Formats: sequence, structure tokens, C-alpha cells
Amino acid sequence: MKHHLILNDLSVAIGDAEILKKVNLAIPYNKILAVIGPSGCGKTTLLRTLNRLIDEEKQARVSGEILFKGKSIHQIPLAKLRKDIGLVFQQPTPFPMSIYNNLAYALKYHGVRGKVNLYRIIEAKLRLCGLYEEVKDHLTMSALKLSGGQQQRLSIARSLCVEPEVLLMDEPCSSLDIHNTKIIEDLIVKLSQHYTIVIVTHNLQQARRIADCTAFFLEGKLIEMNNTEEFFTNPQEEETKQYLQGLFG
Amino acid sequence: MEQTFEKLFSILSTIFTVISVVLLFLVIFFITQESMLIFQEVNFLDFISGLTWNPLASEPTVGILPMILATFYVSMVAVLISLPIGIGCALELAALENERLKGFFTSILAVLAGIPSVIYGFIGLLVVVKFLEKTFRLAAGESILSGGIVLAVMVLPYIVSSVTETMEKSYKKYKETSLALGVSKSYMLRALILPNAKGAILTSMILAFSRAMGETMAVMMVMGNSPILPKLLGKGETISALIALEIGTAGLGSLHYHALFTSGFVLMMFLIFLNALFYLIKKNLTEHLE
Repeated sequence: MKHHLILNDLSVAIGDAEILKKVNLAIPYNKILAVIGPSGCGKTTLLRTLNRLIDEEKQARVSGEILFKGKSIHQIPLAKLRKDIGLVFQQPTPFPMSIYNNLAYALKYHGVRGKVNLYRIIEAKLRLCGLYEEVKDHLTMSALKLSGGQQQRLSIARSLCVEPEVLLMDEPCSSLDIHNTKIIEDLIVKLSQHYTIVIVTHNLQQARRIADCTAFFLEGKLIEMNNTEEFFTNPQEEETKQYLQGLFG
Repeated sequence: MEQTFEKLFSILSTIFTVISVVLLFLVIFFITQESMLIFQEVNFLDFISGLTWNPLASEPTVGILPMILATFYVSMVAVLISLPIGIGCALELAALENERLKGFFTSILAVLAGIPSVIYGFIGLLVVVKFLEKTFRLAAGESILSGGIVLAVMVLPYIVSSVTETMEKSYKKYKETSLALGVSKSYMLRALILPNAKGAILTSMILAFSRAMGETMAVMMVMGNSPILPKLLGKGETISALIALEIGTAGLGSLHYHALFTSGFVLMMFLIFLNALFYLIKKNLTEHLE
């Protein structure tokens, strides 16, 4: 099996508004897929549909098929699906508790017991996100006291704690400065060795810097997807060309 | 024209503000003045630590320790009963996503808060007191416990509304993040929303406690009103009940009259202290959150 996630004719409507229209997309293992497009083109909805967070909206209707490792996501128990497909939000959302408890929160729910086991996982994920050296002496400090960049890395570490296979990221750098953006981008590239990453971004340069493949959405339709180099140097569709030239968006 | 109106409006609102502040100080001043007179005859410490209340005897004694204790006791029982119910209610309401159902429950609570005290006392007398008489085979069911139960129902809306507000906010804020980790809603409520509401729970406790301490009518109807040291299943009399029951028969300017005013003064001081505590904690919490 070459693809981690496969979308077949995926459509999503919220109330009367059609957000995604018959999207067909295959996401390969351990690669970074950047999803770009103007505001309101359905990028965020796409991510929320993949881990079924969209189901929390009463008015949402989803049709078509999403296969996770060849199996429909509706056949996978919700808790398991969301554990396997993590989501990092645009705004860092540390819980109002200590750094340690932020990371232990979901671990405890998913059955990890014992201080030693918890600490081992937490330390490993903090190290992976390059946060361990900065916070190792302050694990009991409130996570709200961390800087914005640290909070976002903590959010990523928290998602990684439950060992997802896929990590969805919704503009994870949009509220960060250049320095922190660089740190997170390096982290994403590092993570792609072990995880499949789908990142929504407004920043074309960012997509170009880090993504293996790039997909362009416009008004709920997938216009074009290709490997990043090819996508930016030789776009096939007229809309893509115009978007890349900054004619709209 | 516009300007004169603006000016008039600002002058009027200043006047009304001043009036309400002045009123508060007048009340405190008046009560203090009326109560201080008693200390020409009794020592303050004897007054608040004395065990007998007998202002009409030929050698009158006025000690209000039993009433102070009964007031605290019945309020504590009320808060202890109503806190777990209130927190449970608040958790349920905060996580309720059906807006119509939520509105329905919220308005039920508002109605509960709007029922006159005397009606609560009436129902307490018919239901709670009778129930205690049967269950514990008491000669009389009027007791601290029945007062506590009736008060618990009365302070419940305050606890629920102030705790729900905080819980609702954090539920909305963290719901998606928590769900995205594959965690169930009930785990989220237990491990995130509840601990995060500690401060709100503490302040709601203080608020409920001070409400309970000041409540008069309902407690008076179900507590038996004997100025004796309170026991859970025995009679007791709160400070407010003492004043309400006796002020009508106390001769103007008599020791009895001043003793009742002083009791009111003591109650008022407790409540002012509790309110100050409430604001301090609340201020501390909001600063902490920012």
C-alpha cells in the first residue's frame, strides 16, 4: 500500500454551503503534503473531516469515502481514529495546567500508567520538539506561562504523545514570528521521517520550503496536486498559475 | 442641546451613585451606633461568647454564641449538601450542546432562585421536617439539618450559575483540542474542566455561604428557634431568626433592643468579611488567569 490516506469523491456541506466538492486525493506515507489556497477554500474543513472533528457540527454532511490505511475511517472507533490522526490547531492551545500534565492528559486516558512510563514518553516527545532543554526544570510550571512559540511546540508534542501516524497541522505558524516559524518548520521536516504530515498554510514560501507535495484548493475543489518542485516551477492549471503569481488570494 | 443633555446625564448618574454609597454608610453607621450602646452594660467578649440568652429576666444575660454557632452550622450544612449537586449540575450544563435544553434548565434555575423564601419555608415544614421526624423518629423534626436542607435548595442556583459560567467558557475553549487527542467528553470534564474550575467553585462556596447566613424566613420556619447550642438533629436559632422574632416585642431603648441590634451588627461584620474574602479571591484568580 503506497498511500496512508485516500479520499474518494469527498464532499462536505455545512448547512446549505458546499465546502468541499468531490475531492479525490491520495496522501503518501511519511511525506509532507502542503495544502494551499485562498481563505474559505475548504482547507481547514478538509483537516477536520479527516479526523472526523467535523461530526461535532450538527449541520455538517459528509459524503464520499476516506480510507485510512485502506480502511474506511467510519469503521475505526472514534477515539482510535483521533489518536492515530492528530491535529495541531492554528492557535496554540495549552490546557490551563502544568507542562507535564498537558502532556500526560491524553496519555492517561489512553491507558498509559505509572510515573516512569509517563515520564519516559513525555521526555522523548519534548526532546523531539526541541523543548526539553528549555523546560526540563519547569515541568510543573503552568503551560500558559510559555512563550507563543514554545506553546505551539508543546501543542505538537502533546499531539505526538499519543503516537499518531498522521499529523494534521492547521497553519501552525500563523501566529508566530520568523524565528519560531523556522524552529517549527525544521521540526516538521524532522517529524516527516516518522509521521505523515498534512499542513495547511497560507504561506506559499513555507509550502515550497518544507513540503514534498503541494495541493491547491479553490472554492472547495482540488485544482492541482503535484510534487512541490514540479508544482511551483511548472503548474499545469491556469488557476494555479494565477494564484502563484498572486493574481488573487 | 446635545451637550447640556450629556452634562445633565453625568450629573444625575453621579448623584445616584453618591446616594447609594451614602445609604450603605448610613446603614452601617446606624446599626453600629445603636449596637454600641449595649457595651456600657455588657463586655463585647461576654456578648459573643455567652451561652445564655435571657434578656427579659430580672438579671438579664445576653450571650449570642449559640446563635452564632447555629448560623455557621446551618450554612455549612447547606453548602455541603448543595455543592456536589451544584457542581454536577454545572458540569452537565456546561457540556450540554442542545441550546434549547440548556435554556430550559437555566430558566428552571432562575425560577428556583425567584421563589419567595416563605414558600421554601412552607415546603420545608411540610416535606423536610416531616421526613426527618419519620426517618429519625424525632419528637420534632425542626432542626439544623432541616434548615440546612432547605437552605441547600435555596443557594443551589447561585452555585450552579457561577460555576457553570466558568466551566462553559473553558469547555468551549478546549473542546476541540481535547477531542482531537481522541479523548472522551466525560474524561475531559473530569480531568480538565473540573480542576480548572477550582477557583470558581471556591468563590461560589463563599457566595453561597454568605447567602445562607443572611437568609431569615425559610430557616426560621424549619429550625425550631431555641437559643441553645446547636446539634445536627436538634433545634437551633440563627442570628437573623433571633432578630426577626424578637425585635417586635423588644422595648425601644431597652437592653433587649440594643442586644438585638448588636447581634445584627455581628452578623453584618461576618458578611462583610466574607464578601471581602470573596472579592480578594476572585481578584487573585482573574489576575492569575491573565
